[in-house]
Amino acid sequence: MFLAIYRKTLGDLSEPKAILTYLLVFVSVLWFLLIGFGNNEIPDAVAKLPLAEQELELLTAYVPLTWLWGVGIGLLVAGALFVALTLATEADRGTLDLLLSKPVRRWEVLLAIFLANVTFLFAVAVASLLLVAVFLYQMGGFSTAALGGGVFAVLPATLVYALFVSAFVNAVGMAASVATRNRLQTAALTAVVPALFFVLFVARLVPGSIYEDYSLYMIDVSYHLGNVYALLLGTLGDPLPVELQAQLGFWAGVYEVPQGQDALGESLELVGYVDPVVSLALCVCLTLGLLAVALVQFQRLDV
Amino acid sequence: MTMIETRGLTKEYGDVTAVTEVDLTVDRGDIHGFVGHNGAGKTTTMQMLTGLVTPTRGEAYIGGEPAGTRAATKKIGYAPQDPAFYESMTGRDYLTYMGELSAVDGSTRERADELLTRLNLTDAADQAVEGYSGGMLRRLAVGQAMLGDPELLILDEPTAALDPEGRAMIIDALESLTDEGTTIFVSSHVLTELEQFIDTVTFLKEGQVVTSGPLTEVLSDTGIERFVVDASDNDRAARLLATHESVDEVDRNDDGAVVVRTDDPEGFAVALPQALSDATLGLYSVDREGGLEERFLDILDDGGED
Repeated sequence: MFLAIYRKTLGDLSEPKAILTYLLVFVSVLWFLLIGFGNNEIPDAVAKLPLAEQELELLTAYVPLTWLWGVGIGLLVAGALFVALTLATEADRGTLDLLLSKPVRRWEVLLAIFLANVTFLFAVAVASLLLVAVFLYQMGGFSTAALGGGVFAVLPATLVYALFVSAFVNAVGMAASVATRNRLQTAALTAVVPALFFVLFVARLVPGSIYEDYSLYMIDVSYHLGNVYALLLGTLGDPLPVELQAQLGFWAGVYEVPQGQDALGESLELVGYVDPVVSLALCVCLTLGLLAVALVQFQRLDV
Repeated sequence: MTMIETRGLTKEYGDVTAVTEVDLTVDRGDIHGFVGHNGAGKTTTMQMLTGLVTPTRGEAYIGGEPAGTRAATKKIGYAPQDPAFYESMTGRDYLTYMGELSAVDGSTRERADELLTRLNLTDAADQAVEGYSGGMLRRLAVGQAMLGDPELLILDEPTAALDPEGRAMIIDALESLTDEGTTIFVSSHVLTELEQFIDTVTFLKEGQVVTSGPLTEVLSDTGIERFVVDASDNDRAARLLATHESVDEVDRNDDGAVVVRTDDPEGFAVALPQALSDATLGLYSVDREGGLEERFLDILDDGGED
């Protein structure tokens, strides 16, 4: 029964129109971002640089693009939209009452749908990661050998991070589905995650001290996810080169970035609003907590 | 042996009480009609039996198992009043999927095909459900309820929106199921149809049970039977019948015929020809009324149990 619901949910998510629409938006934004990166970050004739320098150039472009878009806002928005197509749609359309009148355990239904959502979003994330790599490779003009140190070296950590983000956004989506039982409201509530990611990312870049004075970093999804990504990159791969730390410092606010490229030194200090392990624990607790709330509420739900 | 038993079953939604202290007993193998106006609480009661809605108070048992538990749900097949479907699925895929959730013994595909044949949906088996007519959808809903060979079928208005042929098909299917020992708990607004195949009945009014029992007993309860008598002299016949011991009330209808309400329909039916004959009155026709429809109107429209 668990597998039947899991398969059915994956089928619901594999809606060609929704996937094509997402792909179109994803590629368009990626193209726009790559033009910015290409012009500002990647040197001309990069293929003529020594391999190690090419790898570093590719790495320092690939990781921020991945964090910001590939498994960042793009994936979070996709998660909000796709999660609304499953449990909330079942409740909204009225198919849930027939489903729950069958001898299935409610926690099995919820968990099967959640895992199918995570699987699907993870597949979307893998496709997105490949697209980012392919586009960067093509538009940047890197040599093929640079993919080893520039992309594949960080792939294990990035895949784990993508799985983590998929689970996180879907836990929010499942709780929203059970609370609202409405597609649009579920999508809107889950979209709070990418909204917080984007708004607080922008707030952090604005000069002034509002971000620190009001401890906005505590609800800054981009900062916490940046912390988690940096932790995973450091744990599952080689130590992060200082240039990559600088990129994560600028984009995710994880590292203190000194003014001027010359002053980077060998390694950067963490900003340290919150320890990366605490960010990880916070996100894990939030994911499990929301899932537990969804399970309890779903168990008591009057259909 | 009891299939459904409820004690003090109550459901409140905030200040609104949908169902109040419902006590029901339905024996195994019975076809039980559940009758009441729209909003009387029939659907809520059925949802509490299936475990879709949690009672505010009271208890419900299905074959001895507390309602809402997996053991109880395994015994039930449920077709709701307004079933929703996965519209892009074909009828066969839909039944196969629901079969996978219904603990069907053996091949769910074969069971799905068997039900598609039984409900005359074979021709549309590979057609997307969104193209089905209202009647086909109703049959599909009943089909999905029958998938796991349940001991108890709970059907909320199963023949609504069906043409006579569709109704007959559903009723035939239900009657054959009772031959196999399945208990059926069914609500319907087509009461003349319901009384053709139910064994026991419960009337629900404003969330409360008004009367419940075997159909024959409920129909023969005080005051439910009417006889419309057309005699050679209806004025004399009306005066005569008003004095008869089994007659409660005498009235005249628009055609001038005598309308008699009696608490002893069987006795009255036997005594009537003799009484008129003794008074040298000719009996042109007598129509007996008092089926479920009349009982429904008596009880639910005229202010409760008589």
